[in-house]
Amino acid sequence: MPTCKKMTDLLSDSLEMKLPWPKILAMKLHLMVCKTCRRYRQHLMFMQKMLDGRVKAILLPEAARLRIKEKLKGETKE
Amino acid sequence: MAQLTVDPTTWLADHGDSLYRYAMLRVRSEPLAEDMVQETLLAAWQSFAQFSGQSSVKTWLIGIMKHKIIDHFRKHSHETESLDDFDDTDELLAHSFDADGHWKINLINWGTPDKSVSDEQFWQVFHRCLARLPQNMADLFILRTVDGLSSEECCKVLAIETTNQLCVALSRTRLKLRQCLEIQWFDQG
Repeated sequence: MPTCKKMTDLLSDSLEMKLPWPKILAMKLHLMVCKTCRRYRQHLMFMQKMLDGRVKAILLPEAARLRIKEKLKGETKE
Repeated sequence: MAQLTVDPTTWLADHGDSLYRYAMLRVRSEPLAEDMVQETLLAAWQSFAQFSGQSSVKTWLIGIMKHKIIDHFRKHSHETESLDDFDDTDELLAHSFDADGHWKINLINWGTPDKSVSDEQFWQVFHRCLARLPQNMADLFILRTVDGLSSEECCKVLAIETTNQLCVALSRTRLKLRQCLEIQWFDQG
């Protein structure tokens, strides 16, 4: 069974890619018996959810887009 | 190569949001982020001949912006918190785990995200924690988890050699960010 330290990597990896089933199984077994790793997983998911909800909503404001567009047209004229 | 459009206004339309988001997360100023998007696109237009076409236009633009951000922090290093790239990852690992790799700290209950997401103070803390990360960690976290740049593209932009190294770096970044949020926000009441 993976150590807790290794679990932080596996839990992070599981957000990046589909893990092979032996790793998933080992992770699930560890989570069944380790409250702290369950909490660590909750915290990772918390951070991801916060980012999805808020940071992805940062968009280039329309006025800024227009200013940049004008500037680019001016500067890149042949 | 000959088929690629050399039109910065197209790049602005396609990648303006990604570039702006990246700049905002790093420099935290709307006017400055706007300037950086503009400068990045102009620099890209001027140096288009050097674009190899081996990466996507987006990755190429982000690579240019990355250097603009580094330059910015170099010039203004006295004004910001994150500048010396002091990396205390090893200390954090030693603080968190015993010799057998078991947790030796307690993690507190953070509750549900819904409450914090609308709390401005939480976001100030979040940005402060992001700013405390070494620059390469902050870049990696933003580009991979916020902007969804692929692992391969992240490796290219950030000069990381293997996906495995990328995964380890992301895991350490999450560990650090979690620790910072816990201390600065969740453990304050």
